[in-house]
Amino acid sequence: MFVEVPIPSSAWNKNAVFKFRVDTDGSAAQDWVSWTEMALTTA
Amino acid sequence: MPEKKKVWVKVFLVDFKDVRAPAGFKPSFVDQLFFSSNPPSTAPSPDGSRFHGSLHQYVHASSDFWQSLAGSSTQWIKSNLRNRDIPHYRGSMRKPSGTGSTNWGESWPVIVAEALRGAGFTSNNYSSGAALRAAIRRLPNGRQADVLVFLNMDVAGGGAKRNFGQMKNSLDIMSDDRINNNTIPGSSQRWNALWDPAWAALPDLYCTPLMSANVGGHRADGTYPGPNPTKSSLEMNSLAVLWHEMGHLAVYNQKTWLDGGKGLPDFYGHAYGPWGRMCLMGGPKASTHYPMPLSSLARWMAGWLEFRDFSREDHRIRLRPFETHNDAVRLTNGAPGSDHYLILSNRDDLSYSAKGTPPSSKGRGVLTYRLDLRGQRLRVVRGGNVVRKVASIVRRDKNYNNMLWKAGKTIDALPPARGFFEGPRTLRNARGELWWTLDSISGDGRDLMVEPKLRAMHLLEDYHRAVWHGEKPGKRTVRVRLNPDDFGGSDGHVALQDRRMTVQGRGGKALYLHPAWATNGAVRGVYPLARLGGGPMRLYAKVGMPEEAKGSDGVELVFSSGSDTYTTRLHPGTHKEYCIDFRKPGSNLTVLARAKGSATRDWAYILDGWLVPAAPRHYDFLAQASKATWRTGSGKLTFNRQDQPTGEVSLRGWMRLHTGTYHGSKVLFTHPNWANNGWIEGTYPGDQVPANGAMIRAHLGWAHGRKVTNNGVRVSVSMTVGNKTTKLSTRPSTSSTRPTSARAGARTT
Repeated sequence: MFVEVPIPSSAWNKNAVFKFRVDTDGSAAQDWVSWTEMALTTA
Repeated sequence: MPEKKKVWVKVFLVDFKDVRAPAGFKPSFVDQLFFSSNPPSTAPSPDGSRFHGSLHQYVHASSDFWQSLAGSSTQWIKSNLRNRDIPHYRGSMRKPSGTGSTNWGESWPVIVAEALRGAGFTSNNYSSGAALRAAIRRLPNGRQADVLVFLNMDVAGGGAKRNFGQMKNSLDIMSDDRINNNTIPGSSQRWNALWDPAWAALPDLYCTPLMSANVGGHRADGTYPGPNPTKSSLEMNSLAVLWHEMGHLAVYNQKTWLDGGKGLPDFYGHAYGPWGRMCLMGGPKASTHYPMPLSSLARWMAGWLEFRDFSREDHRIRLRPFETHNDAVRLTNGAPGSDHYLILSNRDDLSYSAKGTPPSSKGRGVLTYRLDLRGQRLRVVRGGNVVRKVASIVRRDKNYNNMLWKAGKTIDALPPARGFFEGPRTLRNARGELWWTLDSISGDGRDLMVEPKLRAMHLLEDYHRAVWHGEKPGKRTVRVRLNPDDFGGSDGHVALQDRRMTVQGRGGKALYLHPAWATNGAVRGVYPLARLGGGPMRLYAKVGMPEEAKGSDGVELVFSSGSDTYTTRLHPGTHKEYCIDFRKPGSNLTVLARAKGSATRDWAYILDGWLVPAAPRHYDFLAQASKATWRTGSGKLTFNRQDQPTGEVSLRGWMRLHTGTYHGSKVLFTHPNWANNGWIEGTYPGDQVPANGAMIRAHLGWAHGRKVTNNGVRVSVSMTVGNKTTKLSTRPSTSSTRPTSARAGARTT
């Protein structure tokens, strides 16, 4: 699964705090998630 | 091969006590408008407007004559209701919930019911429900209609493609005790008294006004005070709108695995859009009696067009006019099997003015869109819902009129543009990989010449660009230069084999590597990376060892560049797939096959291997994960402390995900606290967003072999600037979040 989201232009050139979150939404059994990419990219 | 299909259509005409159909809009005109094979090429409508051809002609030509429409319209059925008294849907309406009263209503279910009742199509007039439905569908030639159309004089409503189950549901909601306007005017009966249960099994319908007017002043309950416009001020509704709705109803979407049902979807919605005037299903973005063409995507979904595929190498391609040649080129825009594509077509840049004025051309240009067949890129939309993004037009800027790339333009790795929240502006795929650039667009009459340049490197086809050596270790390693495809004997060898020995029963092409014949002997290839343009790279590789290598004690296979190295071990019969990120690659990629002890029968295979530029990282959240503050429902976490009931965040070197592919060389592993509704959250220190824009890119999956549980997880990314927090992306807790094995056929990458 991919995330590809442009940063709103209102935030360009500004200091931003980013938060990544995983919710189990019910049982937490085996709810481990592996991230192979998490980046703020310029293109 | 499309299904050759004649779709039979029955058109019901219905008007209202306060808005009757103007003279001239007779059933015979509607029959000509919808079904004629031979209307004048440009005809005036009864209101004096000019239009071109019939709906049948439009569908017939768009489908290369595979599909046709035929049917008939009824006489005008006269409803005794006033149009102004019927609730019309407004964006401010809310369905009932709780105990409070509310406004909610739609005009189309009332119109459809009025049409059928007005024509006497109710159960009390027929011996059975089947007999009633057969009568409703019966055409003058005795055939049964496949679809039903309700053209009407609702001057305050819009078009809707629906089914009869939705009609009953809507009438029931309109009749709820909590709805302010829940009774039929002039009656004590609720709106659902109009419903006849025998209608439930009727085929799909579309209901739309034949005439348009700017009626305003809607009340909160969806009625309006009037007066209604005079007949002479009514205009025929835009044929682009009428044809658009028939695209939903009567053009069968054969890619049902893509969109789940018959009928083309809206191309203005989040999953496909926005397409604007570049597709009939895209809005339509122009009020015109000269409907815009169905795009290559719509025609492909209908089974009327096959994309012209090109291999992964540099090309110079002649794009013929789409409108006359149905020509659309497809380039694979991702790793093999990823279902990411780029589609290019040569489109007329049409400009629309008045409804009855033919569009004028502003020249031709290349329409480019990304196609992600599995909709792997998820987007948050209004209301917090998540959609799968299937198609994205590569737009020049946010202006709908600037979708075409004209001669002299090139499409390269442009940064995101200000004001862009929707679409890509580059040819990168949803993972940020740059497989192609369009280095040249030039005109040749009405044709356009385009030059897609492949930006990725293939370890097999490009192996002759690498420098190869056989290596024999000792006090001093002896290195011998190997010529590609030359049997080097005891020095080792490297060759591209068209027919390899089988690996797990499968043959095919392979890059064959044999280490030098010595204890711990090796073969090493060094691929130069300069032509890939620098920046981070991603390697998709399939490697293996043939079963016939039985007796080998194994081979170590190493891929390395810059500070990133990955080592795997191959044994006879091994087959593995890798996705390796080189965050800061050097100027070369080194491929090394080394004997583990004896080199006997150490036949290593690279079965496939693509190295592709990845998006430049301004901030690498994954590599910098230890600098974030990680919390779960049980409190703050210690980074890299594993297997704790309080949750875990750890940076792993390599992991095999649910797809079976090994990922590395860094994987961040997160686990919420072990409790129902547990969670984990990482907050990063503030960072300056680049002045020219940026993207959040992430890829995630499940560990291989994860046992399927009855719920998934919800993943979200948010950003805080000052005191304002924006949720950028989320993934719902639905079946689609579960591992592959939870849903047959629902592969995610």
